[in-house]
Amino acid sequence: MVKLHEIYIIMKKRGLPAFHAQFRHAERLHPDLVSGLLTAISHFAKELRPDEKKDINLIKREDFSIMIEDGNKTYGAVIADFDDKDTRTILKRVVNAFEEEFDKELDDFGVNTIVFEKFKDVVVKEFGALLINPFYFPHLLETDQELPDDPLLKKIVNLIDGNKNLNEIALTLSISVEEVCQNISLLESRKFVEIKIKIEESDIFSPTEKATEAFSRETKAHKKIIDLFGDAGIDLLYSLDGKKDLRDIMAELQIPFNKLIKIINYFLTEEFISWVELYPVMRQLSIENLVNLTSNKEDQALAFTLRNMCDGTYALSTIARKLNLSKSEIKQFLKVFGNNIRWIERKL
Amino acid sequence: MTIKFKVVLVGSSEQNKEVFLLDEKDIIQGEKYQTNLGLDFKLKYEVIEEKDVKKDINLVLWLMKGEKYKEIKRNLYEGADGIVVLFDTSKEENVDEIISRIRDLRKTSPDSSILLIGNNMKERMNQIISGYTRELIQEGKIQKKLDFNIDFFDTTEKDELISKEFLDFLTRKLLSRSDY
Repeated sequence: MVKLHEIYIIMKKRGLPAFHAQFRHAERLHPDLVSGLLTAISHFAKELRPDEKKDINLIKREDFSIMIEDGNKTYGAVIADFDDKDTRTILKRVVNAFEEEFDKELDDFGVNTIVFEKFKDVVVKEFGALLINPFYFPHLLETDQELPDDPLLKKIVNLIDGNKNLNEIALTLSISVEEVCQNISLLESRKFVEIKIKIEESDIFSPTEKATEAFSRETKAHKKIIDLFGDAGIDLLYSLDGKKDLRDIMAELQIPFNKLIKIINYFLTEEFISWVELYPVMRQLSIENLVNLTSNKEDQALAFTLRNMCDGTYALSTIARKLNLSKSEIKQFLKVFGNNIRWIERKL
Repeated sequence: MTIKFKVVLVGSSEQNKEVFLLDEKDIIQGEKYQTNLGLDFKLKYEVIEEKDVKKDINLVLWLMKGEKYKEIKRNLYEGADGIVVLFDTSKEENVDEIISRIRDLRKTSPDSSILLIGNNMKERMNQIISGYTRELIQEGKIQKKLDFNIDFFDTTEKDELISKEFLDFLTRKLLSRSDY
């Protein structure tokens, strides 16, 4: 998942930011200065190749990228940790929407930033799917504010109970998870909700590309993990293989759950690991087979229910919640079906 | 409300444009963003109250340095709300050069407010305008040669610490042109 830092919508002629917003991982750069610099670089590039119609669309360093998407009167720039196609698509859409809404104001003498501030909702919503992990849990906050008059937003709010993650809310409403993330992102920016990470013993994680750095002994990331958690931190990182759940790992490494949660939280913040969601798929067994594989009527009923749900579209966590069982219990139960069960892994 | 204006400072290569800004403690210096393009940025914040409305004014100052990359710099004037042209009061012969520069700026940036200010490079500071340049300004000799209006910031009988006064003058000038 791309880590977004900041977004700028810069007035082409002036080189001043009409709109600027910081995301979760913001830098402390002054937007007026950054906008000026980007504009100067763009002019410099044009001067180098005057016949070339193309504009600069990427400024890249090893640890960050500035993606640039061009409009008519403005251009948009997003600072992120890498160049990302989805971010670009959204940025292009945001730039077009901005120009459509503020066509007249962009020609005014002087830049009244308050005029453009209302665009924040559009930005927060558009980038929501990239800002919020669908595995996070929204919690309602106490507020005197009125909820915006939007039927979908109200439906989403009604489902927020602290126990359903965004993925589950999307499935319950039969809408895309992106749509839920967008709306939750808006609710979060307006302080209607806060997003929390909830880690369970049955969760599975796998290392990200960024973890490669932490595996090498001489790196800062490796040393930091040792300083914070000792060898247990590195051992845990090696154990998170995308297959074993935390319960198995706790037993293997003999790490207490509280300590494990602390380390996992750190790894998630540093983006060394990501969640793996399992989607069980069960072969369409005959009734006779199902009965033969189960020992009592209760198990048979569960087996029939699971046969209908294990079609690769329901995540294990969703099945567990719908059946009011833990993920571990479902996994354990499905073992009796042996090779008739396949697990599809999806990283989140 | 916060209103931003882009102000470009231009002058000959040997002119020290920062002299105008040195005594302003609340200017955010942008040296760390300075590029080899010969461009530097500085920010100046000012609060102006007009008819009981408090306005936060941000002047984003673009300082063009040296004579390199003239064509790029021409692009950077574009869209400026204000352009401050510094001229060296110690050289009497550069009036035609100034006029040609101002004409060029007006062509590139037809909507900008242009402000002319004297700067004595021999003393490395803003100085009282020499008798010759005062005559040029007061008798309108520069203005007469132009078919559009420009503003003069008169430094006559001011000491070198003029930057606050100069920036206030500039801010009010720009604000008077805006709709806000």
